Amino acid sequence: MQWMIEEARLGPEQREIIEEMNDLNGKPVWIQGHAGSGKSIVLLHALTDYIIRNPNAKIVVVVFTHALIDLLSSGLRQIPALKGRTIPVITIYDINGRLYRTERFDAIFCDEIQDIPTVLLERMKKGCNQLIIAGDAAQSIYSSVPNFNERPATKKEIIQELNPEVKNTTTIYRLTRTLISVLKNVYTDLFADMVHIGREDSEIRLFKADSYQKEIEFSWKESKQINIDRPGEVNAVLFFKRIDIIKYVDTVLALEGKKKWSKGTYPDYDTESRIFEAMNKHLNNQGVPLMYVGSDVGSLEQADSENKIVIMTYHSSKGLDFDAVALPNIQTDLGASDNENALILVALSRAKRDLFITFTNVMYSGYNRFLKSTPVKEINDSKNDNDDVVF
Amino acid sequence: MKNIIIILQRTELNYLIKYDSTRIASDRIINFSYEEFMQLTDKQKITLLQNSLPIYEQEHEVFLIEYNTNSIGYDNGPILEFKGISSLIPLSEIGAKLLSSKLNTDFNVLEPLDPKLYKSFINNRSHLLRYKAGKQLCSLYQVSNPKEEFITDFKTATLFQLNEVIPNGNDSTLAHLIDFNITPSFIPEGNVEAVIKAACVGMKKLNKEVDQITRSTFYSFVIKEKSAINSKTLYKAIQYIEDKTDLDNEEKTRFNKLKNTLSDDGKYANAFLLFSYFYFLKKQIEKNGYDISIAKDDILELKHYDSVVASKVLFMLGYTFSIQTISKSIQSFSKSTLLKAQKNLDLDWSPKEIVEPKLENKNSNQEEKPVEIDLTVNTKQDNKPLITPQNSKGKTKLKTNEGSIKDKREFNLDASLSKNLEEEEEEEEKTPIENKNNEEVSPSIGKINDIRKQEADLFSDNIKTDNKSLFTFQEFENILKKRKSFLSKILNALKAIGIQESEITEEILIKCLKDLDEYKKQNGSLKVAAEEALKIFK
Repeated sequence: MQWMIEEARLGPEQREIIEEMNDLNGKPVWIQGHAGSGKSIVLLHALTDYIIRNPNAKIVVVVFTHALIDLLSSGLRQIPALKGRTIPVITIYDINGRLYRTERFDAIFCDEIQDIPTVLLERMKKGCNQLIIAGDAAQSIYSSVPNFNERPATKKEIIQELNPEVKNTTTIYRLTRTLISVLKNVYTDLFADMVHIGREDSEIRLFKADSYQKEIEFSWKESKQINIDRPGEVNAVLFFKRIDIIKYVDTVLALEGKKKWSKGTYPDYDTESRIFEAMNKHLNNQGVPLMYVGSDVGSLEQADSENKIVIMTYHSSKGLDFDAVALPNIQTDLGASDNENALILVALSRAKRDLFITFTNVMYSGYNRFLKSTPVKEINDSKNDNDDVVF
Repeated sequence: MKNIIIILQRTELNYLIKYDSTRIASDRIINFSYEEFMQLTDKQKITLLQNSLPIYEQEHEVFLIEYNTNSIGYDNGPILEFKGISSLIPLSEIGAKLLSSKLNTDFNVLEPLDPKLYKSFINNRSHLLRYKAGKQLCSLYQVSNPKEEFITDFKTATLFQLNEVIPNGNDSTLAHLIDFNITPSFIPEGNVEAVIKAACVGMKKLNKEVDQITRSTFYSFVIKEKSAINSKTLYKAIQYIEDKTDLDNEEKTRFNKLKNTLSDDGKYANAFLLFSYFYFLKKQIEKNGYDISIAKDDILELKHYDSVVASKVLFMLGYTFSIQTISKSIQSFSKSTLLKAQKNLDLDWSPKEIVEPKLENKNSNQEEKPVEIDLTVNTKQDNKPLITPQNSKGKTKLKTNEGSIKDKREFNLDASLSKNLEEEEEEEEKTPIENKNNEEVSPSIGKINDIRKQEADLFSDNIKTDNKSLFTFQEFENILKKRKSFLSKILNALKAIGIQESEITEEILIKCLKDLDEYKKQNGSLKVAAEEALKIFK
């Protein structure tokens, strides 16, 4: 993937931040901005400039997940100025261990700061001469950082701990006009890129049903049809919780006249029913084009090559894009999530072409804040069939 | 002491503040006081701003200052000093807000420009940049620009989008074309997507709900004929629709009504063809990182048959994308020595003969795929390849638009044909012919069944060749068919460097893999996709 963007293609704000960062004096720098504002790109350009100025410096890049390691490593390999030099990209767990063993660095570049606990912030600050972080504390979707068993640091805590120089990226480059208008209902400070009428817009369709069964029947029929009509696209169905995925799979299997997957009833499924790898096998054996992807189960590449619809959680979908996304069950209370606005932002902003949202009876209030100006249709709305057929 | 207006970039102001002076270009000076400037007509103001404002992307990058004429120095250009600045005027409200967090709060910042004036200026500048892109795209493909009347209409149509205004039934179909910028899920992929979207423009023009198109005779016809329509190039697909609808009175009437609606009652000739091409090429270019060469074959085919529509569609695409979006791709074909490698956009294209199965039953759903044959044949041997193996003109592809976006398939006859035939005979010179009835051709056409058979073979995994320099794009497709996304990327990368199929070597492939960052992992081992791609050399 051509991930690294040359400077001439960056926005003025991004260029400005990179230029301002050539005079680093040891004070931590924090690149803040919404998803899609190019924080990581700015971070990598800053890193390049740092290496050119400090060719012998010991540098490390820190990210949250293994998927992000691949993404950032890929970006780094595309920088000609690095001349093939390998910059280590490691997870927060690796850096934590190395800092704990008192290893020191000249500079640490840390992405996705919103998912990092205070204890690690402290260690990183002490363990290097120059700390540069990127991310938006308001966008954390985790209530507890796995293995640290601590919640991620809040914006206030990051500022208290690091006293950083803050650089803001306010322009969103990746999202379509319609999606930005929806997100702006809650995130009023979003600032879209200059009007780009060439980029295809996405469509948001919002439907209400009066029962779960009718909703899923409607949603599945739509997803299945898109999968048939548009096999070149990657489509996904997203859920808040994994048990909702099990219920959805059972409902789809029943609709297709296939053998049920789970044992037990929602939400009390037995342990075996929660083995998603086995669920994928079952779906495959039954000939239902669905594949669960997440937590090392399933693969987007495989789903793409086998023309299967991806099912995953909102959390797992962070950072991914699909051509068409179905969001069923948005009546589900997201109260269990620590930052529901950030989570809904993730769910709503995954679709490039078509976002197909359905709910039973009443939409969850969190979604309503975003979708207040999107017209709701009833699933059994008959179209204006009385209209003349003109063509 | 008179104050005049000077346009300043923020970086210039920053240096002026730090070093107390800065040199500017003389065209930045607007020789009016702000008060005098405000008395001018809007047209005069826009012209002055247009001449003095440099290119910028966000409203806080540039602003106006009121400057004391007595403080202007000169040293190879006008020199400004801090003391000469009396006030600062942002371009817009947003510009003012963004500046407020960056400037010294003690500065005297006036109200921004009148929003109406600024909007008119922006629209005018946007037009100039878009116009430039449209012209460059036409020039690149060596077609003339469309007539000014059409350009003016398209500019008006685009303004609806730029100003976020929804066109109504009285507005031009061009305005509806630009406004309809989504692909609803009821539209399948391929050529059918482009033609149904064109039909949706007709629905919008008539103030009908777009999704009602699914109830139309035209939609039913297109869906029924989907596989036949998608198996051809777009030009041939539209010809097929014309021919096939001609056989049924109801379909013909409806289709004519659609064409007439799109043409705005005759104002835009061939509007259905034009609109379908616009949607088709726009999506292809957009999906391929705004690479304007990606749709070359389709454009050249259209240019061959209808250069007026080709000119319009190229101009419309350039105008819609605007120069900043496609400049990189256009520049990649530049002769500038700044570029390490020179790329050529080979515009040589010749039509291919279509051997259509006879349309005996107009309602048949089981269309046979037509076979497209390059009119370059061997004049000496009846059983020679119809197509020059690995020739350099890209004439050898039997190409359809099936799954044309993510998984753009190229049905490459030459690979399999040449592979078999090369074993028997030495390659001989080919002579292009113009008349498809030329008696020399008949024997070759007689081999159609063989071609079909081999076309099917193209999708087997068994195509192998011992010659390292004779791999084809099709063979990559075969070896990588389980990695559709990667396949599309590697094919695009190979094509982008202007490589011919006959020249694909291991080194070139590795270079492309590296460019795509698909070669090695951080630990130095090959990535899975690279491993599979390189298998072709085993």
